Amino acid sequence: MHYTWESQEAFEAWHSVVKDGLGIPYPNRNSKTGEIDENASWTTAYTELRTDDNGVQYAKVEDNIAEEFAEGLGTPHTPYFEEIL
Amino acid sequence: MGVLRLSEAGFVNYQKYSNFLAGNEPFFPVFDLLSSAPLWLDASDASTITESGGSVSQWDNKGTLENFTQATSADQPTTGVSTLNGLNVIDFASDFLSGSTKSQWKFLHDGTIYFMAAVVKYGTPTILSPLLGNNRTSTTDPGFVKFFDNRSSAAANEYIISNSTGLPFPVAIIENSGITSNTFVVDSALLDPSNATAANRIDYFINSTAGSDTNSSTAALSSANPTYDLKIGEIGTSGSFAMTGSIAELIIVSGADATETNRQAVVDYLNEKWSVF
Repeated sequence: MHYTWESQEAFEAWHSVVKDGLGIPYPNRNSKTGEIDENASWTTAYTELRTDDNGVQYAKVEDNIAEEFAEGLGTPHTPYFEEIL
Repeated sequence: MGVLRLSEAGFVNYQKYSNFLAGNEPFFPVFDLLSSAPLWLDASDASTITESGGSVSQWDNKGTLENFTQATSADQPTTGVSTLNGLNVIDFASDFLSGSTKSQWKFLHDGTIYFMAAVVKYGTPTILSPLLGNNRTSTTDPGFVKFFDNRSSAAANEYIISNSTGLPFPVAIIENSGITSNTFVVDSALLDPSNATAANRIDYFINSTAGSDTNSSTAALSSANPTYDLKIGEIGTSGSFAMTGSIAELIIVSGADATETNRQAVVDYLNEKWSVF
């Protein structure tokens, strides 16, 4: 589901709490060996702001995260895009 | 089981044959083809997947070009949940992975001959479910995109190669009802984008059935780098049109190896491995 915030600062404040709660940033593990691979891509953000064709900034938030981190969560938003080919 | 053949040098490569017998690699004539391919993503090979709690942050390319990453948790696809023929697949729930070196993928739109083949399941989004792309379907950004388009429940199978000069696209295929959603298919195409005959610029297939749409443009191709990084599960944007579905394996072979005979061989390899049709 997508959400929008009153300001970028409001988003960043909420996102900072989520990142702390999830322990982001963190390295990830090779799926075969189970060993942490420091050289592979780390997880460095929970979500990120995008802009739809109406200029509204929004971010994808999974339902379980929206429930766990409800305080400061923005309002639901359906992004609008011009017709693409 | 495949037929044991001699290698090009006239000697059997026993290591590769042992790996084939162990089920770890395709039979070596196909292995040689794939290991020199620009793109070979294999969800059944756990050693190529970096994850945490099943969320994938990196999928390594067993071919020759770059790996694909996703550092944002909410956009990471999932591994270790779904299987096909007993083998792991990677699930996308409006997720995607990204390359970072645009110049590596210029060959997808600059006139180079290539084929792609994938074992993929497209979900039922209200808009698009891309397999891969780097042109955002834009008429002015050079690149390539392959996607499932379910707007108005059209279930369309679409390929677009764009240049920087607007319509018509140098290559465009839109076949409504071309794909059954929520069903794994071997999705493949042989592209010769600079062919002087429009209809010969692309032949595409679902499993062993040829598609019915025909390219009608001979528009010029762009030699510029793509505007966007190549994305797996996206059209080229950064998540606005991300994939709903699953990818088991995705291969692109280019240049002299990109023949119809080799496309069929790769489709056969994929179908034997994943038991799709």
